[in-house]
Amino acid sequence: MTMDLGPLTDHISPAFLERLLIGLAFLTIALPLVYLIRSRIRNIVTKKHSEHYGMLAAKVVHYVLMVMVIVIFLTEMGLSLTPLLGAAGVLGVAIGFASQTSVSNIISGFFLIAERPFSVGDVIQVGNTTGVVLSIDTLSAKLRTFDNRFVRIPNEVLIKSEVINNTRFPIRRVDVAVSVSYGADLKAVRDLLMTIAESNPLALQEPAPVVNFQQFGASSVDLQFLVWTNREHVIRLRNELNEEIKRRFDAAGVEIPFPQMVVHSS
Amino acid sequence: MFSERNSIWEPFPLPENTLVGRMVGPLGLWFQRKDGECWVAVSRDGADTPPDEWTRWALRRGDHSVRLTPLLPDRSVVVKPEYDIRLLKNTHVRTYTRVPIWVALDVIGESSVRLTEIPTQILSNTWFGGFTDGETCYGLATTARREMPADLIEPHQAVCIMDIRNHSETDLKVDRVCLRVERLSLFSKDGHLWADDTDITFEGEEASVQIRTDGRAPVEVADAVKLVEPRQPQKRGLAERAFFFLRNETE
Repeated sequence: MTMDLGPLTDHISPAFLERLLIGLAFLTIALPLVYLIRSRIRNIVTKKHSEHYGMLAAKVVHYVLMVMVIVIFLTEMGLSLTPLLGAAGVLGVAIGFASQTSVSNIISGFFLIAERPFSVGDVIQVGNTTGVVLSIDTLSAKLRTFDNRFVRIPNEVLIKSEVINNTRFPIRRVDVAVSVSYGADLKAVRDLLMTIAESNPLALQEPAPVVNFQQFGASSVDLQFLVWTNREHVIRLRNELNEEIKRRFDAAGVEIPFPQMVVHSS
Repeated sequence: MFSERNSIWEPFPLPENTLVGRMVGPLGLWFQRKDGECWVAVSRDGADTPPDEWTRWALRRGDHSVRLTPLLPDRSVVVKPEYDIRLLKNTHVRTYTRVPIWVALDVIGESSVRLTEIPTQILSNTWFGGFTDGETCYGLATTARREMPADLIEPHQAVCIMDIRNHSETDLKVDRVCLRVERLSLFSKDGHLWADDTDITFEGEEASVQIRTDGRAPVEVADAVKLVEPRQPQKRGLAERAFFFLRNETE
């Protein structure tokens, strides 16, 4: 095949130009295909398993295909890969020494994927940060906090820190601290609290609500009111219980005490 | 299909700008047709006037009437007898439980379209299973009667029958049973609703509980008319949890 490329051939050989055009045509087809395959794989695996595995499968497929595309492109361009790979080996060692943190994050990422302490969509708490996991990437996990801030947590930190997964299990317990005055009838208070739990549709009948005696406080008798609910209702139930306790205590004349001190003068 | 006359389950017309009310036990339903929309209000306080809060659906051209359809709840119901029942080995007990139904609202024109489903009575939620694995069900206290006189059955209740058989070598204490209502059909006789039998056989291990439903009217109302198919397909000899003994170690 011969092509009339005019003045270009003064600087670039026609054979190279031909290879370049073929290579560019290959990229034009291959790159959208890679993104299409990645998207399809993600959808299929997400549907069959979970979003976590969908994202993981998509990343693996993406990187493998991209390496294949680059290798084919370079080969088509007539570049030998052997010196490149040799240089990459030397460069890799240098980069490895220079970027220990990044390597640690990558390895930590593998542990996170294998151990699976949380998945995409879970609500986790790391230190003072609580949010929904958006993605678990090569170097870090991304969270969206409930006030809509973006938080990036390096994988190494996640491996080293205590991570609380708030949505791993389907039901959660809501703990409400209740203090009543020393003059209150504790049995009546207990019955009142159990009625409040029974009348709230978000509170689960089983595991049954519990009222625990905590301590004789400085100004109050301290109780703990434990009610179970589905994990998505925790905050709503906590609010409703506290509001209802205040309302019912006021109606029943049960005093919620404040700190006070009795001073005797002689 | 259903043929009992003057039933609340018969379709009724929905004229333009006319308030239509229906009561299903404690559930009050009000309908209005305005400007091509169906307005629906729901109350459970027994009032004879509709509440202020309405939900609106845009109707198709030609939609002219509404039909109420009884349904069993959309989740399993954990039935808790007032007093524990103990079954000696190789014994059998047949109990009757009244489960509050749901009502489906369908608009009818050239074809029928479901607008929504509404429970006649709001049941509490409960958990059936362990702390890490289980399912949310509705909780229902019952006297677990050994017979069901017709005058005790209210329009918003369906009678569910459980045959519990203890084929194990030990006594079986029944303090709660998970009734898989989503696999039960509904039948009607003399305005009363009945579900098909649930046969629960306990073999001694939680995992080997066998649950059977047959899709036929119970023998007490053998000639009842089938009103509604189960929400989920029936499976013969389904091995599923019917009993679970949850211990709360967090107290």
